[in-house]
Parts: sequence; C-alpha cells; structure tokens
Amino acid sequence: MRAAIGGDSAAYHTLLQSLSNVLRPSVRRGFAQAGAPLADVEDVVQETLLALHLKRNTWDPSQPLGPWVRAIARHKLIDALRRRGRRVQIPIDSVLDTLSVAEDSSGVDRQDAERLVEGLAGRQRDVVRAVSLEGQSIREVAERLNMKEVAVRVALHRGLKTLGAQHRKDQDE
Amino acid sequence: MKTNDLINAIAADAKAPGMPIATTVWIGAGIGVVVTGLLFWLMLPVRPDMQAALGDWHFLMKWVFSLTLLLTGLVLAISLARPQWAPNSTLLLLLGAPIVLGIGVVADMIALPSDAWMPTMVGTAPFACLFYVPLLSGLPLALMLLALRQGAPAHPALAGAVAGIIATGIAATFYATHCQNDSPLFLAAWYIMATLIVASVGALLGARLLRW
Repeated sequence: MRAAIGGDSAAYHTLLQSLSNVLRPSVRRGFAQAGAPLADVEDVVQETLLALHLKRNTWDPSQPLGPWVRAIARHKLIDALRRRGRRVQIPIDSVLDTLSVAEDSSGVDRQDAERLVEGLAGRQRDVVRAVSLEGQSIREVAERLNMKEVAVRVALHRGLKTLGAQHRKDQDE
Repeated sequence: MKTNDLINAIAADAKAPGMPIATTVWIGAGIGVVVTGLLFWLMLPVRPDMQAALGDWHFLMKWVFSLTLLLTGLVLAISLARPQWAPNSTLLLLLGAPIVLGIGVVADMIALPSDAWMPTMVGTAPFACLFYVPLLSGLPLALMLLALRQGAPAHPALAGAVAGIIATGIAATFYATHCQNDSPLFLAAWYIMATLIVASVGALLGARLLRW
C-alpha cells in the first residue's frame, strides 16, 4: 500500500489482487451467515476494492493495514446486507440450495458483477472500459481515444468515483 | 465487469493520492476560522471594553472554553474520519469543554453571592447568543462536513455532531469578543445550548451527507 500511494501501479495491482482473494471468502461468509444469496458476493468485493481505493487517504501509513481494510470491508458488507434487507426476502430453503451449490463450484460467486460499469456514461465509460476490460495503458487509451494523457487520468479517476457512489443511488431509489 | 478488470482500472489510477484526511480536516478548520472571522467582522462590532476584558479571567475563560471545544473536536473528528474507529476512550474528549466550564462555574459561584447567580446566568443578551453563535457556525459547519466527506466515518451522525462542535468552537471564539456576558454561568447556560443546537444540526446533516 505504501508503494501504491507512492504511485507504483504494479505493486498496487498485486496488492489489490491479493486483497480481493482475502475479501471474497470473508464476504461470502458474511452473506451465508445473513442468509443472502451468494450471487452478489462479487458486487461487494468490488465495492470494497473501490472504497479502499477512493478512501485510501484515511489510512495512516504508520498504522497496520489490516484493521483498516477489515473496517472498510465490514462497512461495505453491512451496507450491502442492509440494502438487501429492504428488498425481497428469500425463503431460507433456496438460500441453503445456493449455499451448497456455491460450495461445490467456486465459479458461482466469481461471475461478472455487471451492475457496476452500467452506471458510467460517455468518456468515463470509454476510458474505464479500455483500461479495465482491454487492459490498455493510460498512454494507449489516450492515443486511441485521441485524448491527452492527463484527461484520460482524470476521466479514469472520475469514473471510479462514480462507480464508488453507485450503490448509494440504488439505496435512495 | 470482472473483478480483475476493475483491479486493472484501479491500479492504473494509482497516481494522485488524496491528501491525508488529517490534513484535510485541519485545512477545513483553518478556512473555517478565516471565513467566520470575516463574517463576524462584517456583522458585529467588537465590545468597546476589549482591552480591559483581556485582563479579566472571566473573559479569558470564554476563550479557554471555545478553544477547548475546537481542539478536542478536531482531534476527535480526525479519529472519527477513519473507518476503523469504534466508540472508545477518545469520546472522553467530549467532556473536555464541559469540565473546563464546570471549574469556572464553581469558581464564579463561590465568588458571587447566591442571589446574584440567577441574574448572572440569564445575563443581558441570552437570545443574541443563541442567535449569533449558531448563525456564525453555519459556514464552518459546512466546511467541516465537506472535509469529513473526504473521510470514511463509520458513524456518520456522530461525525456530523463533532463537525458541529468544531464549528461552534470557531463561532464562539469570535462571538466572545462581542458578547459582554463573561460569567461561566452564562456560558454554561447559553453557549452550551448553542453548541447543542449546532451539534444536532451537524448530526442530522452528517447522517445524510457523510455516508459512503
């Protein structure tokens, strides 16, 4: 995280990758305990990663990273379960079914969380798409979309912010 | 979007790290002091006996009280802005200003005859205090909420209330130089009430605005 805050993309990538692997089972456990369908686990993992990124100014580098990450993950988990609570309640039997299926195939909660990228429009969408789905570098995207690199960076950052605020809109509906 | 794709996007955004939240909160308070000072200067005159007041412990007590509010509020706000904060002993900071004031109240009650307690507490302009202190708190409250939005408070309403306490601390520091009621008894009644009003507004706003 220290390297990432210093702007080291590669180190940040590795960190996020390993954090997502730690977060996934713990979010899944939270969902199972609350009796929520596991299909949305990946949504919460993604929301947590976004929050870690957008709120990394609240981590004090002199403090250990673990408690900070756990606090954000818990916040996002509770938030998601609360949102769910306001929606349809699913009978416990079907949850148990999902649970057993999910235990068998690890693929179930790894499915695409499509909801996230839908909320973006225009340039932000193009840039986030290009960087994430196509794995292009900032410079490549800038050349292809005929934008300045700075503009690409700004659009990417704004796009991620929009994604981070996404679930709150769902909540207010 | 697959999580791996999202990670690509986030890692590409590694640059531009935000300013640490503690710095944001301090800057917010700094700007709050400047704008509140300007507004005060435009609205209200400084009391004519300011020179004399500076030598009187009653007056200085007002500043000790309001600055205690301000500083304890700031320390608490910075802890609250971090997601891992859970209710703990830092909450005792909230007692700082009331304790300071309590000492002043006792001292003044000893100094004054008991039939003077009530008129001293009511003072000469209690409602002006209840009007101007919350009014002057408006801008710094907005600034503190803005600063705390950059944070990740796990308890948004509490964080909002603390933003209100900081704002009152700033407002009361300036208003103290206009208001001629200096007794801690007056402070205990009216400044505290003003603080509670602003803190409540802060809590209500915080519950909405400080969610993340």
